[in-house]
Amino acid sequence: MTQSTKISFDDLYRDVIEKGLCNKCGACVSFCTANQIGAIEMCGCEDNVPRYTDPEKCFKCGICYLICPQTQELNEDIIEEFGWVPPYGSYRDIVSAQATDEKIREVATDGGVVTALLSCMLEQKMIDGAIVSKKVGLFDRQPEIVTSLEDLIEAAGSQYSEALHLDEMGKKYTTYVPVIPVVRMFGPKRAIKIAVVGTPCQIMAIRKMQALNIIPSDIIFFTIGLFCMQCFTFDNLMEKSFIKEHNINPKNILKVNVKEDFRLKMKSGVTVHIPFEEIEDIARPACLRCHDFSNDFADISVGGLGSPDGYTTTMIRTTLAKKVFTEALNRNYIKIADMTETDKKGMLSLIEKFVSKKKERAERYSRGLGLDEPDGTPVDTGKKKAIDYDRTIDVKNLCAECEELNRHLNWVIGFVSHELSGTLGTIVMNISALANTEIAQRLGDNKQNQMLTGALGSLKLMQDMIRNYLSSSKANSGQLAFNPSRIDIGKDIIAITIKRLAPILKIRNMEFVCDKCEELKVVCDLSLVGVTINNLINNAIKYGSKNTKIHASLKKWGDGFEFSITNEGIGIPEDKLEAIFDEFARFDPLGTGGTGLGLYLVRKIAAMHNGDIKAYAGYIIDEKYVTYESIRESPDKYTIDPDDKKARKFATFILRIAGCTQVESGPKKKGGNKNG
Amino acid sequence: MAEQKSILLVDDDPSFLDATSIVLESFGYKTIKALNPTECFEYIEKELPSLIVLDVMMARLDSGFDCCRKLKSDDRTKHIPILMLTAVDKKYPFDFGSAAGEPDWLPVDDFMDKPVEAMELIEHIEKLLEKE
Repeated sequence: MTQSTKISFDDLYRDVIEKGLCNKCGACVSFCTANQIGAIEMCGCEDNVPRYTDPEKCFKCGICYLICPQTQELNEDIIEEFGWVPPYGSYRDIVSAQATDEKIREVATDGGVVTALLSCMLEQKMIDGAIVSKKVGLFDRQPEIVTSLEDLIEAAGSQYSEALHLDEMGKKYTTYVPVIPVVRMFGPKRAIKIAVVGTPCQIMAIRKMQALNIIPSDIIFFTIGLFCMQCFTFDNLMEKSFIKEHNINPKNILKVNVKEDFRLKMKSGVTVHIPFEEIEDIARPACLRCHDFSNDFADISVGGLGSPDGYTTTMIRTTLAKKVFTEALNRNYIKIADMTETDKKGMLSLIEKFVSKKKERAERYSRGLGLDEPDGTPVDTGKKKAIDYDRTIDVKNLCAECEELNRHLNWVIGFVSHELSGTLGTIVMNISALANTEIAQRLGDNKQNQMLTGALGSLKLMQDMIRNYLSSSKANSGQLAFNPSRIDIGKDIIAITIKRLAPILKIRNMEFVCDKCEELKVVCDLSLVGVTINNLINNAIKYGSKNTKIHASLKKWGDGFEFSITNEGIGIPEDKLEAIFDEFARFDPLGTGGTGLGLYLVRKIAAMHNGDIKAYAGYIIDEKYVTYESIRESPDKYTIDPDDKKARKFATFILRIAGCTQVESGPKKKGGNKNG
Repeated sequence: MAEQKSILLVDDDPSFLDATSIVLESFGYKTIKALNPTECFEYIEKELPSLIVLDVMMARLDSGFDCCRKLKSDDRTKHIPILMLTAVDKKYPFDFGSAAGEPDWLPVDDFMDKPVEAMELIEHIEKLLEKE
């Protein structure tokens, strides 16, 4: 860990996918999708490996890399957490067991322990569902969420338990079923618990996700790991010479089993035994690099190896597994074969043999490819990618942050739609009255004109609201274009803004008075500074009292200008003088509506021009504007009753914009005053 | 000469209050504008209106709910018809239309979803006042 490395999907692609080592477990895509990042997807092509959907969306959080079963960064954490010891991980007990239910045993590959355990957990409400591989049609298998015993039985057992069509099966059949992507189907229902049945690589990916505490692994309550030598496709299996030698017709295969060797049980009752070495060359490259035969990090590991026919070898590894297994035993879902300690040692010895075989194969394969040692045994930390662990700790909170962002987004959408629909309500009321002949006649010319002005004023407010939302969005993503030019603040901005807002001034019967709002030429961004002046004047109208004057002044400030605006109205509470510039800040006892972004944008734009905006407020006493500060400093001079509803209040904003020293003529600049 | 009916409009949007009051006044109603429940109750202390048009979301999301429950639980004001008028269901998945009239939940006499057209509003108000 000598230096920090920002890891991303690019690294995963280079280190795993490009080398053909992807397990296709889908963990990386599940995380990216479940957290609505959406940067990667399974390609859906022949290989069905992950690929970018949109590199721009990638946070470069590195989680896809960290949780991949083929990478090693989190292996030490997992090994420590599960107290892994060679050769096959820690375990509390090992037994040969079988389901007590005959229906389960009939369809099971071995003793039906997986189905019986899941059935127990479902019926005893320990889980809400389980993800298993389920038959679809005659030959295809897909991961599926099951919530009942009937579905479990349907999903149980060998993939060859029914008649097959070779050609179609070849296209679809693989011994590997990607269960992890299904976990994300639970979507936002986070309060549920599920069990997952998977291969060692799938369980490893789940454990890595759980180590980082990331969605969607949080809903996985229990893992059942299958003993696994390798996965392969049916097409490749059928091309093997022994298929022809043994004259195997796939239509006559009744069951497939993995015990001491690979077994095809035929309908005739004959069982064809195939040594694993015979099918090693059709294993997926990812499997050839995998050390883990006995699914060392599952809660319970199961397989046929070491048990008599009709029984499942069951390694009970975790405290939770012990609890679940005991529950299933006590409730008569499963029974165990009588075994002596010598029998158990024999089973363990057989498992160790296969563990060694797979480990040696993995080491051989890795050496052949010149790769780092794969996972499964204590790793050489010197070969680990240098990771910024502080960053890794940060990403543990990424899911929570994503959820918070989603909540905020929903709030923003609700806020925006409410504000827009409120203004729309006024427009509809005005226009519908004018469009209705009966109402229009009753109104007469004067009121008709008043309603038309009202509608126009609301439309302008809506236009400003939309512009503010868009500008805020651009400002937050650093995309506010900055195009300075020499402009006359009074003529090009203030006069035009007043003309625009005239209908609203008229409705409120307010007057805008500007002191020295004449010629003052400054180099700044016309449209951005236009937004600031517009928002300040709009604000003064909205929160000002009817029948009052708005006082403004414009003066030179260095190369730029200072614009001050004061209204009489609801004022601003002293403790809100800073907070009103926050994004979506609202101090609105009048409920006059608005984006909550107007003043936020003014401050942003002022900062882009190396300027600032400040708010002052207080009371109008004997026609003098006295700030809270002055009142506090001279308590004897001013007596204010905060509950006096007739007390006149004011608010003043002083905007300072530093002018640019020259007009930029090149391409549009983003994000700030380059001359400042 | 028939007594002029008065309508108390309670809404936090002054522009909407202005527009609505112009329409209602053209039909001969006297209108009183209140920007929040406090102003509403201040007026009611002095005088009882013939009908109240009430928004839901004001200072708080449920200001209108509190307001109508209070009005309908007071012997002095419970007979005053309340027409609830809001855009709140654009934001929340509540079915206000079917809930309107339920004494504990939404004790209002009628409900309209904003934006509402002027004549529609008049028709609803007239119907409520006819019942009186």
